[in-house]
Amino acid sequence: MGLTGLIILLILLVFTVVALSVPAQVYESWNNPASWSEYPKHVPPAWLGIFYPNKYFTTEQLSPTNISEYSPAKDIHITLITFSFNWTKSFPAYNVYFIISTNSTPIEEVVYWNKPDGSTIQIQVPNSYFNVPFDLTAIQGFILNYISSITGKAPNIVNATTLSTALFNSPKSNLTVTEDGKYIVKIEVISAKPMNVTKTKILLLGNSYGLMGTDYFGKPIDLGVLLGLPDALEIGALTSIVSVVVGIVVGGISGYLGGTKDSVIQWITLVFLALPALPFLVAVSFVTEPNLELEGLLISFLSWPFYAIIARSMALSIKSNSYVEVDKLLGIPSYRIFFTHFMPRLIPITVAYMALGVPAGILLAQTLAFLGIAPANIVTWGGILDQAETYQAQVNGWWWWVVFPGLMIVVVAVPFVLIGFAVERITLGER
Amino acid sequence: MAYFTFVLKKAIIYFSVLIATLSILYIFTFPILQEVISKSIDFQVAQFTQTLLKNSHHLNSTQVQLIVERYKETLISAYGLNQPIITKYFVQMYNLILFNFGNAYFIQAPSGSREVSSIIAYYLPNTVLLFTTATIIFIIAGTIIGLLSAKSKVWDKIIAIIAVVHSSIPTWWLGFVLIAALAYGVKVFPPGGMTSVPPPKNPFDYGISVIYHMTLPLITIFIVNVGGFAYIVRSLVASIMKEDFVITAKARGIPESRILFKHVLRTASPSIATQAILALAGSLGGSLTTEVVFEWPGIGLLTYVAITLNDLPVILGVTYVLTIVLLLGLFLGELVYGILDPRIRSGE
Repeated sequence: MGLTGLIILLILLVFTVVALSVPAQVYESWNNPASWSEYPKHVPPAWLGIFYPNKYFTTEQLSPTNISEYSPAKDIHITLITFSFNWTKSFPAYNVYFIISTNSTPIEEVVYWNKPDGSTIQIQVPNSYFNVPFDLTAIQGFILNYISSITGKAPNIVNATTLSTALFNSPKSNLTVTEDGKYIVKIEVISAKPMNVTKTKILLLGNSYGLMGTDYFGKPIDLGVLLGLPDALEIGALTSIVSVVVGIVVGGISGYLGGTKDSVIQWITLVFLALPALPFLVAVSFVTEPNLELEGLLISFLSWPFYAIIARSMALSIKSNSYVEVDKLLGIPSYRIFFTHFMPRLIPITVAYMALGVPAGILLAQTLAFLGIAPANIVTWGGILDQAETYQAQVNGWWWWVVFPGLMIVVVAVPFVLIGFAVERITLGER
Repeated sequence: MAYFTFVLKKAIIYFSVLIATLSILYIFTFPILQEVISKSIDFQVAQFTQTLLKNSHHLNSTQVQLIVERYKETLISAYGLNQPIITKYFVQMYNLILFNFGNAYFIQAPSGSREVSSIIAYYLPNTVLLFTTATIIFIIAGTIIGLLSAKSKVWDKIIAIIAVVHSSIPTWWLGFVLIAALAYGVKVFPPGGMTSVPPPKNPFDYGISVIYHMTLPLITIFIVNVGGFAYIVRSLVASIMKEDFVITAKARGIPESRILFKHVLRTASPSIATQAILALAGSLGGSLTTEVVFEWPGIGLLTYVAITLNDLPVILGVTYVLTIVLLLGLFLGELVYGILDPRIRSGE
């Protein structure tokens, strides 16, 4: 059992190293929705495509097949970018992103979207979107006009997916049936001077993404889970080490000393034990800006009494052993007795509880993040789940947003619990 | 007589702990909440000044200033900001002991009362209903499972697995997942709240509605906690099984189940009872996140709302109640242990 725990822990450490090697700007851009605009929003994981090959597909990136320039008249230069692709799915793309970057500002940009059945949609790109990536919602005016000209009415819900039906479905079927076949997209950029196209591509967004899907903003959940790992482990380790060491030392000394000193320490322990953790932590978080180390220290501040009680009862039972009495009679100084007899016996249980303390610390830290209390600028699984709750993930059926981050909390906790139980069983077994 | 001294000593200890804990909480929460209140006062004064200036053109500027000053002072004394800290501290402690928590800044009880004690009195029974019931259920189940582990190896392994569950799954996450699956995915249970809206008038239907809404949170709390309790019982039972009197009983040919349920249980009962009381006392403390996820109208949700609204009296009041419950539980635990363990009764 402990061996399984160790193996899982090693795997986790490997992932931690991977997470730490991710450049810092990715961490910072996590909270910025604009960095994720090119990802499909709230879509399920891509591997669903294995089970439902006709229902789920991933993003396809298109590069131009041809770029040609000509100048029909003086001071008018036209750059024609051609894309072509084959569409075989029975659904339209989730969204379409047009990325056209030029080295100077164009006068006009027109997109000609040619469907397999020969019908073409012509879209005038609004000035504000020159040299800026745009998707279907940016040009929804034109698309809605097109839709009502064919079907006679505008769609009830206007989002990228419903707009996409205009581009992928056949007018003959009133835009209900998706056309399979060859699509040709031509983008005409008109400028006054000769111009270079620095970057251009089209993204046909899939309706699934990645290992764990995306959230409301398009952020990939698998990335979020990975980024949250180092901080979660750090807080867990910090709180565990500090609270266990403090608790066992205090409890051990208390049990060893006995008498009034013991009662006083016991009393102090009880006071801290009685502090209700969550209201206290939440209230304190209003005073200070939470940062990772401070949060860890605060949690330790409230957790050590638990270990002190255990250590004290162990110390009491050690004290009643005759060899301790013998040493005292021999006149060996107190602290030496403590170190030679008590410490070695307390160490195994210290290790066991240090292992068990990590998941407790991680759970509490993630719970605080869920309630909205976490250091800014780090990614936490509790924070991801908090967003999921705010955006009603459970109502909308975006199960991947709820299941995976929480599952990660469990997966990280499990190896420590296994190791802790194994050590505990061994140490208690030998007594 | 020895028991009486025992109880008295313990009572004094616990009472002093209560005061100390509350003082610590007070020290930590006081400064910011002062800040928040004075900012709120400034804001209210600014608003008041604006409306005053708009509506009274015939007053000159000094008169306006006087009125604003007086308004500010009434606010300050209403919130108690003008007294020195020590006075405030003693007044607060004195009031707390008498269960007088004052009035909430922003929150109101459904009955319309603004007194914190009535607000808490309204929401506390709901929390008790949910959490105490759940705790009792998992204590009984956990004890049975824990005892069973002594008899068969199968149960032993099962306990190891579900105990891991206890230490690694956050209750609120499991609640979240179960709500997504069983309340929205397959619409078996309601997604939250205590009763359907509007609550049924008929008391019988009301009761059914409450039970219906209580099922999902109950299941969640049970799954998360039963493993932990079973593990504790199992450890206790396992250490007792190694004792000499058990081996003697086995040698005498007494059937296993009788040994288990008569001799072992009797020896284990003080510790199990203490653990049960601790679980009950601590169950209310863990209510915050669970109630938020299930929108269960209890003191956990109340604390959460009070914190977001910076409503100091309510926060202090709820913390006080929770601390009292926990300390009472610990105190009772020690008393029960004293009763069940004859060694303590006859004097230490």
